[in-house]
Amino acid sequence: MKKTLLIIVCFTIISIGLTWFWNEFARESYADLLKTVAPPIYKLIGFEGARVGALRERYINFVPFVSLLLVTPGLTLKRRSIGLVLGLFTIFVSHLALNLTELLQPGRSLPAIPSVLSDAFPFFVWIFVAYPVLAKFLPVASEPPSSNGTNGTNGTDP
Amino acid sequence: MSTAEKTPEPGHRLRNLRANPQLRYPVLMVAYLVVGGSLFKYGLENFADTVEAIDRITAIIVHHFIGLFTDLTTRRDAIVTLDGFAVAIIIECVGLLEMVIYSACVLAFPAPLRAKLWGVPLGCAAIFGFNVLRITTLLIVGRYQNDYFDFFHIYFWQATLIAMIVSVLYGWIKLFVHR
Repeated sequence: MKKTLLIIVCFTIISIGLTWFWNEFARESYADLLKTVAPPIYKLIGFEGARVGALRERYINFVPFVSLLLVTPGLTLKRRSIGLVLGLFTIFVSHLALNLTELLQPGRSLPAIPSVLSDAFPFFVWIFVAYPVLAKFLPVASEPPSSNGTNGTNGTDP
Repeated sequence: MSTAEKTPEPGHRLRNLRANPQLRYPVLMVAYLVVGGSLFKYGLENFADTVEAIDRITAIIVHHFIGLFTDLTTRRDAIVTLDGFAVAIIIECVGLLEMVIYSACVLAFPAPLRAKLWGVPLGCAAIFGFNVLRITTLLIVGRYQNDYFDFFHIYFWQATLIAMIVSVLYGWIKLFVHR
């Protein structure tokens, strides 16, 4: 209980710090980075002229990823560091992709499904990076596959 | 052990990959998110009255919750005020997107169906509760520390959305899956 509370407190402090840092310093720089980097990438993959939404509020989704990864107990320093770098890069790529979804539904706001996926994206990345720790929560993680090739969970999934 | 035993057949490899929870869970989650996101979008476009009712009900609950601590609160339709500072509650504020994400997390999780049937409504209720707290803190910040309102509204709570979902999910796993 005490440990869980400590994790929540650490998560909150890191989130406030990162959010403040993003709001005060990083947001404008990130917008400049996107404006520089995104157009040539879009051109390269055949979406020349796609609009770069450089100041979207959804770009802040890196904060929960970093906070979650930093407070997840039991990860090795190597996995945490490499996961942080690769995770942030993946989230950056997801921002580039999120911009392109605007082409599906031109208008003031982004389409609903990409928005939901974007909000949940840090969670996916965290699952991959923190999997050695999270596997403990999966009831089947430690069980060997059964003889019919299933992991024993298929019957319970809808 | 023979070479044939060491190298699994492609079909077997595919089955193993599909059974791998590290891959299976996020893939299933994406599938549920696409379904949930589509339903959410359909609901927004076709059930305007229901959407307004949800906004209003949320406003009523927030108003009553704040009313437990102070008389300085009023409400009109989906607008709640605290000592003159007003917030309008719109559908993005009521936590439905968070509930969609949380429900996808629960449905994709390898747990008994019974646990999922309990987990989705109870978790959504918990997220709704968190959201009432979120709106309340926004009213307090807006009223007493107005300079920080945008910071909390646009950035901080957006950033903690995943934490809210992970906390409720963790509680569900502890209470219903690993009992």
